[in-house]
Amino acid sequence: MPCEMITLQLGQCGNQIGFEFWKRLCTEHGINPEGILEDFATEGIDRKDVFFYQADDEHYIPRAVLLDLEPRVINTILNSPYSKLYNQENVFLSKNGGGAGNNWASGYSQGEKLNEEIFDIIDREADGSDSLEGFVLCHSIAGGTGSGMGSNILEKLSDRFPKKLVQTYSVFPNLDEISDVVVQPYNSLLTLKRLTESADSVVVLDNTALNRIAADRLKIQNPTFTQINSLVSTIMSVSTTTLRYPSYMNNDLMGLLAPLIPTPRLHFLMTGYTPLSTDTDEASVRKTTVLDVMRRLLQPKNMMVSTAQDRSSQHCYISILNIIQGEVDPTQVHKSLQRIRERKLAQFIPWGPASIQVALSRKSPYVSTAHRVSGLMLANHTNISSLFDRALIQYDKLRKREAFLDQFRKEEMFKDNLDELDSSREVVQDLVDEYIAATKEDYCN
Amino acid sequence: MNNFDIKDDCNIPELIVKLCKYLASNNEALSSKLVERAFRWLTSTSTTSVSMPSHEPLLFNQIRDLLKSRSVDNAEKFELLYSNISKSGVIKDKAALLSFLYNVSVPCKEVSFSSLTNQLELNKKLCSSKNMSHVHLSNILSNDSTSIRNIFDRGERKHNENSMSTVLRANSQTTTASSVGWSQHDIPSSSKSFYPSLSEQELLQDVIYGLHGIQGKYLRREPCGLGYSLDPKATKALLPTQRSLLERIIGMSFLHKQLKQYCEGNEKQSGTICQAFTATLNDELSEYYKTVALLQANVNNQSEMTLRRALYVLQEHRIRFEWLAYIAEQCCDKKGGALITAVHGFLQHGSKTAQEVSEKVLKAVCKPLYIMLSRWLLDGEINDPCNEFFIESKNMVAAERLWHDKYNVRKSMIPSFINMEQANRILATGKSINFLRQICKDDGQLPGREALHKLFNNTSAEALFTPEQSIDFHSTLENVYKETSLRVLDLLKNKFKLYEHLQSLRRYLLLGQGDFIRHLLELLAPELNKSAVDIYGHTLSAILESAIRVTNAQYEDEDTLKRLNISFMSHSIGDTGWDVFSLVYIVDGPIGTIFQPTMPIYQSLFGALWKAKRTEYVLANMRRQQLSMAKLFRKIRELKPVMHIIHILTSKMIHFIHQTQYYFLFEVLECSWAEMQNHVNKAHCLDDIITAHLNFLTSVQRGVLLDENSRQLFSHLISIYNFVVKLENHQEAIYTAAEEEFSAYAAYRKKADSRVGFELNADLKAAAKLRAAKFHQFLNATKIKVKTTVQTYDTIVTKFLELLASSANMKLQLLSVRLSFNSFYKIA
Repeated sequence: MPCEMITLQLGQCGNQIGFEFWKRLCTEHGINPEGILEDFATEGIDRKDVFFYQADDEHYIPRAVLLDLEPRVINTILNSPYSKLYNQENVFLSKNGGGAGNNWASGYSQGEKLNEEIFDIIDREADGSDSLEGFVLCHSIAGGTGSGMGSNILEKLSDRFPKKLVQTYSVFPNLDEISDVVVQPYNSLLTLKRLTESADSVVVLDNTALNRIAADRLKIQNPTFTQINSLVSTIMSVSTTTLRYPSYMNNDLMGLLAPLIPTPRLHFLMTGYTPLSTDTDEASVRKTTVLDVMRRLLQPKNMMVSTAQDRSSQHCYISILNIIQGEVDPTQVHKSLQRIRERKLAQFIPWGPASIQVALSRKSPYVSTAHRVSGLMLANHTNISSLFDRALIQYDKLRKREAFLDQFRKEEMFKDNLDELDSSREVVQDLVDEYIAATKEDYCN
Repeated sequence: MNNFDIKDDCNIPELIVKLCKYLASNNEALSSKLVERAFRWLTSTSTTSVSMPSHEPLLFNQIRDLLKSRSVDNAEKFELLYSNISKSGVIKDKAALLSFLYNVSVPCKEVSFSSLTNQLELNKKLCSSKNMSHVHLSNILSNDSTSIRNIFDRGERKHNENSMSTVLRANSQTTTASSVGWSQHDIPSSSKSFYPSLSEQELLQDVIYGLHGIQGKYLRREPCGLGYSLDPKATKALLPTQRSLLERIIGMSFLHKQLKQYCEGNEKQSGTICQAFTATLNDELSEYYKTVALLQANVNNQSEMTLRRALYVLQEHRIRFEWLAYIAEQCCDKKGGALITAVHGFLQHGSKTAQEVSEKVLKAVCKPLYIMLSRWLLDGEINDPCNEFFIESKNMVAAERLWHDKYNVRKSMIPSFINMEQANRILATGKSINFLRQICKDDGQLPGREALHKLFNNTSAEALFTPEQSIDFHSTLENVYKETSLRVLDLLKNKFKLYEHLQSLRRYLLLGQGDFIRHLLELLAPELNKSAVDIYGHTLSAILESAIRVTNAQYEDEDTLKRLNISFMSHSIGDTGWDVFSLVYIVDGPIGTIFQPTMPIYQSLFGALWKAKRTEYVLANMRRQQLSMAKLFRKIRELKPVMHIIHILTSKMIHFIHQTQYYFLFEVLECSWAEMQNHVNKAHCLDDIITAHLNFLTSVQRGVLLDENSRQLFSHLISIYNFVVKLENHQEAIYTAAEEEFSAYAAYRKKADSRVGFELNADLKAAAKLRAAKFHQFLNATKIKVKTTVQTYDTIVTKFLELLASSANMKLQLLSVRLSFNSFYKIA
């Protein structure tokens, strides 16, 4: 099957959201936790082969590679009902098991050392696909393994598979609460450099926004990881829905990303989803129309990225893709777009044509939802730069004090100097500048 | 006498003197005597004329007897002159004239009787001259009185030819009126004695001959007509009453002849309906012959049969014949349904006879139609060698055209009591039977046939046109039509998988199966980039197979996949594979009826959508390359400015292609599809589906700019697609150059780093410098080219949007808005 995607999940966070993601895909495709197709599932409607492959014994196995430097989360997965789902050969745990200690540099250098073993697995996976479309990387940018080892793998992937797409689902740290990871600003900055240079598309999952949405929209005061991760898995599954349920358009990742990303570096995507509901709260928004969905998607409170409202600058949408699921009449879509245009609900770039692209997608027939219509927005907005700005500010604060740098200096990369930090700062600053430039008319020159 | 003073300006006494002088042959004494007598008679008519028989034939006889006693020659001459006078009709009061002449001549035996006849001759001359003036007035050239009759005849004949109806109707009215009059005042038998020597018996015999259509003694066939006229020579002695009676009866023979001629004329060719009509006519004719035979018998029996009675006996036939002749005239040159329509028109006639006659005829002519109709509705068979039925069947029609072309409604043959809608229903019912039997090979029991059988067994032909029965008839037909149509639909939907085929066509020819189409495109691209001449069909077929194998198309029905094939259109020099490649879906059998005629439309739609898809694919690959270039050549800083321009242009193009494709596929195709589905679900008959399907295709065609009105738009669209290919070439060139530069630089660095020697290093440096300069130059040149491409691209897109915005099609205007959602393109 063409256009296969290989999922790499790294670290505690990456494996957790990955686990939720696979759980969800299994339900959507009618695959039971052991990888066997349910009796009610029929062939021909969906494409399971994008994310699964079929073993000889009719088992569906995720094209997933589970990587971690400490065993806790992976062991949880292996003790869950889904333990038999995964190819055991694709589960990689560092033998020393000590983790990266929330240190980017440690994760990075361990990744470097384990490089060969890891890429043996990845190569084997890649060889097993007909025409590999690319990789999906799940990780967080704040910790050690996901950010450090993730950065290392990103670099290696773009060297080894320069023509394959690399998409990441990157969890950004919650800035509302005081993190116990003091070097988080360093970790983030260093990872951001790799996300800018070595990834083709980054879906930003902002923990700040996710927690805020859980609290404000779902009325959960102290959301658990599982509740947050269920939000994340929704975004991940819906954003891949057009690949899994083929229709006229957007049947491969490139087709999906091409209109979203105008220039290679401006590839950080925000997401929004509506209507939101969790297992505990099902009846929140039932009566939904296409216009409702599309209008709500444009509201900042539904965005899964917390961006600072900066009135002075002319931040705008570079591109929007709305994946609408459910009973949708295409004429409604058109009317909604007209309405949005008339009311100027969305501000677009001045240097090129831009609009809300709509992908009408099928839903899994095996999952019943309370809502008639639901929508996911993938948006490229210049305001994402405020997130990076914040990262820069935090980094600068820490760097000025030369705080917590000892842990980094222990590692090979920072033994002689801290050039890597400086260059990362430069790259991220460039990125911010480019986003700002993209708000201006002369960006195209 | 008033005849005289009309002509001459001299007064009556003078004229009388003149006349007397002439009669007396210049004998003064006799002349004065005659004058005196004449004046006395004229002044004292009241007294003298009492004894005088004023009856014209009586006077005539007396004068003739008088003359006969002197000279037979003179008597004959008188007779001739008298007949001329009476025929011309100019002298109104012939009896007065005769009585004057008689009175002048009787007491005066001296008056030569030759002069009396001379007098009559004079009168006749005066009359003819007067006729002349009449003739002159009416601008008809004629020299003698005999030609007058010709003129009259001609006029009458013309009347006959022009509109038998009016004359005949008028005639019939007058005749009936007069006959009524006669029966009231029975003619006194004494008057018979005044009849001339032509005996009623003789005339009757002649009339009977005439009624049989045989020429008799007195009745002559008109040289160039169907009718008979009185032989002027043989019948000069006829009395006007006799004459008029004869002429009326002769009219009968004209009608008889006309009907007979119609029967004979239509015996050989013409079909069953016409034959039914002639049979009815023959029926009527034999009734008529029966009557004529009875008449003959009466005449032979020397009974009291008179012309008048004969006329009465024949009266009924005459009226019927008049209507039949009129109907026959209307049916002339007509056949089948048209004939029935002509007859049916009389059914609503005010005349009761007309109604009766036409109903009888209609019943007869509908019988063959009824039989044809029953065979058509029950078995779908047409046995119609003379093309009379209102449904025609063509030979030599390909199986998939059976539904469309084989059977048609023959508009001219639809009887007036069946309207077009009903005719179409009848057509569809029989057509469905044939479709089921021949195309679907379905031998099953047809629904609703029992009711139909019962209908045809219990009713006869008049059920077609009598209002109270036809309601029943048509409602049964309606039911049968509905049930038969449903049977066809049922079979097509369930046995022949109509929906599945519609789906397949949408999935494969209209690119609905996105994963398959995308993969096929990817696999085909290297092959189709070749020149059309170098591509082999079997290679493409193999590619198609493998594309099916690995995508969701593999779960498709076996039958559908078998139908899916590639087609290679004829190519000319310079064509690449892209220009000639097409996917085809082979349809045959019953579903071919729906799909075969639309295949060319599907081909053109596939072509248009495939082009868009290919452009999208090219752009996606360009973007993929851009992303990998950004990673690979991150270090070549010079590349950035030119690539930036290309990035932006690419994203413009991607935006364009995605929006148009979204419009094509979702707003046009999916919306039209939903509409068609709606119609197909509601369909009552196959034609509904065919129409719904055609409407779907037309709407899609219009949507994807393939219709007549969008020629200009479509060519713009193609040129926009071409820009993409152009840009791809630029990018490809840059990629190659960058790759070279990259590896050369890497090699240079390697060498430089190894520090082989100072001199070599300088050489290397110079070479590197040169190479770098060349690369720069290339990049700059390309940048300029790309910049112009950007400008022309923007212009052409703006133009395209302007065209869309000015389109009459509302949807296209909205597409224009969509393509410039953020008003980037300024549309004039």
